[in-house]
Amino acid sequence: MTYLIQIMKNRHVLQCFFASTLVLISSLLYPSFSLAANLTVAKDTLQSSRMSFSGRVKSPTVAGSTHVWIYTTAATVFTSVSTAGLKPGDSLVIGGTNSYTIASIIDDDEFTTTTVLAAGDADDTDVIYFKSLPQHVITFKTASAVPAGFFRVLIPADSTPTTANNGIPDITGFDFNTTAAAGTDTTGYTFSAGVATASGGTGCTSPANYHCFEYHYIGAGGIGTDISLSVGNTAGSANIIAPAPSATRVANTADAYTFKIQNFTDASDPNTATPTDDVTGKVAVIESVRVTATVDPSITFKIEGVNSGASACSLTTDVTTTNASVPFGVMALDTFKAAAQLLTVSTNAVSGYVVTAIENSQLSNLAASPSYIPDTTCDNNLCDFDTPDTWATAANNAGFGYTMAVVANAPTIAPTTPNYQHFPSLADAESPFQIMSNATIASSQQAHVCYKLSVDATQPAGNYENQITYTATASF
Amino acid sequence: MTKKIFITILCLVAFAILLPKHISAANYGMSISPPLLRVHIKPGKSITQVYKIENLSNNDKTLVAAIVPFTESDNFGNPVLNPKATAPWLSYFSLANSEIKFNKPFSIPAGSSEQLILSLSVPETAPLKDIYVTLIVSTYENSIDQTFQGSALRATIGSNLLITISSQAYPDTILRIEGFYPSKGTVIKIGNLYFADSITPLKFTATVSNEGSFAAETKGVFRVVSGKNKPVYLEGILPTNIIAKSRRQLLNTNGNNFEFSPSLGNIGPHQLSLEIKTDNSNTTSTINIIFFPLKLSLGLLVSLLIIISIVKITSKTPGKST
Repeated sequence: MTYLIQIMKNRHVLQCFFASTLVLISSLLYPSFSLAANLTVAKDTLQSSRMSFSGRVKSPTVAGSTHVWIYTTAATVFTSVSTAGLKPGDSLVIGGTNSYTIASIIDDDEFTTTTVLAAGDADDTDVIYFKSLPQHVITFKTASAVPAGFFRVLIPADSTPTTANNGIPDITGFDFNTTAAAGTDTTGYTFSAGVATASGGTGCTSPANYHCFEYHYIGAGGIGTDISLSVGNTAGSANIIAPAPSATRVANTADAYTFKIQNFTDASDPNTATPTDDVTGKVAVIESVRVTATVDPSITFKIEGVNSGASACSLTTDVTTTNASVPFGVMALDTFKAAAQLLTVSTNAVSGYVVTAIENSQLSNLAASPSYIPDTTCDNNLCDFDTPDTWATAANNAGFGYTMAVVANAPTIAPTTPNYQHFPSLADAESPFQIMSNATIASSQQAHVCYKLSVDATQPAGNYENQITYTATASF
Repeated sequence: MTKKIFITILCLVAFAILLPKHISAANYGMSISPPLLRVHIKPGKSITQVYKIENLSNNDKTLVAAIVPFTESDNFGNPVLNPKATAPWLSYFSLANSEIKFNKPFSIPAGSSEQLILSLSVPETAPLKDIYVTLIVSTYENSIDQTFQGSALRATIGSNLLITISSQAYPDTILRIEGFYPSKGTVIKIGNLYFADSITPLKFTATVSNEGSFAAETKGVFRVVSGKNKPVYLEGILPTNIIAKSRRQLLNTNGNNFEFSPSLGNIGPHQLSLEIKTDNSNTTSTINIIFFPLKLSLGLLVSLLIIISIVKITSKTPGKST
């Protein structure tokens, strides 16, 4: 202790102690003595974190078919080994040049396209690419007021410059896509047009293996200013291509890449100069999640009445029908009366549907003799319940019959105008007749069923009626 | 100005009155789900299936549910239904609903749905075979208008049940592809060999018959292979069910006939095959076609004849003038 007091009494030692204390306090108060500070709250937000697809065509895929098989084992840069990252509607490059749209995903290694594969696009190991083109929005807070300087954003790229800028997804970084552009919707400072340079290009050689995007601004700059810069656009028209799965990637995990943001003073050479401020961040890409939903199979059948005066089956209807009745009312002799109904069928059953018709008997009145209005045999006495024929003349061709006409979405129908036939009769042990059908899934297929009735003078007065049953079932 | 407005209003009123329109106040609209049920069941077992019936009409509907057996279908998988048909095994079916029973009317309010809980109990002693039924739900009317003249309508919607009663998971199926041939296109047949133009699309029809006692499904492909055994075209077959002892049209996955559009490169012998694979059997039918440039050759021949004619005519003309 005595020794310490003696040292402190030495004037030079005391001066040295005070000087050291001042330096320490000063360094604590003015930390800007360091050469580069960190930009803060930095992030690169991708419009979509979806990775690209780089796979290969596998046999038995053939040209002229829409069915595509892919390899489930990786090879060199072809690291996409499952359809998990694809979805219907995606545009793929298959074979290197032609583009195809995915129609459906069959399973892990099969999908279909909307158009058939061209010759040369279906050979074993032909390439399959999906280019994910998200816009990058880079946001951060400035650390220093650097007047009239520029920011440089560095996005990781493949180590071979030609590979990193050939418009094909890479597995070690983002592809420059030959026409990528720094965005123009930059905010925070007053910016001039951005400059985009592919990795290895002029002014973009250091650090290596990064694409460079420069954003020059005017003004004094500021501390803590929120800056937002973009690479590409939301339309994907001038964007860099997101990487395909890396060679070491584990399925369903993201591949992370390091990006950098630098703030340089005016006229600096970013390849050699030290940035005033900078920051390093991470951006990750992963396969898209394909959302699936189950739609229950069903069949829907509707019958609607049609007003009198409507046009249906090349006729003008004379009576108003409902869903449950066709009331012909009072008939004039040797004159047609026409009526119609609208049938609508929808089904998502893959084998389609059929609508059949059958009547319980002819239009009958047990109190009259003869007790029925006959089913029509048409003009030439040739039609019956499953054979149609023309029926244009009411006189001498009394009877009840019907025809069909397509209204919407092209169902298969029978009979078709101008041919008519009569309904099969349960009383005569006839089988129901197929009036409307479709061999596959059907959406709101519509047809008119048009009825015609004519009576002659031999028909006793009275009320005649029957019952027609329409049955809609799915095919199997 | 007033005159223009008056004429416009008059036109609108006239259109509204004169344009024909459908009645929507009282319509019929029903939906049933699922529309098809395929069941493999062992004797002594039971299953329950819930059917959802929706009344899509804008008025309440009184309906009646029934089970109708069928044994036949047409070439497109549509059952030939006879409402009067009956079968001893119909007793296997019942409705587990407390309020709704077969052949008894029940109501569904407008825009609502009802569940039919169908129970199938196969006795231990049931014969091992397929049974086919349609669950039908029909409109029901018990009032008669004595003055009505015309047709009363009954609307029915049905769901098919294809049931295989078997002690095996996949009982034997016997399928045979028949009538596989080109139905449209420029084709000449000599013996068993077809000759076709190499730039004209060809359409093919085929049917498959199920000669076994159990229903089977048509899963498979239509394949075209070149003479070098290289596949040049592949198309899926629409998966459909073929009930026992029936025949079925084979279609592509779009519901159309199979079609192959050869290119100029498809010259020479090709083998076209239809291959169906079921759970326990395969069946294949093949035809051999030799593609050659018929139309192109004819075109060249005609061109050649025209050129020769022109040359002959032009070579004779100077002679005449001298």
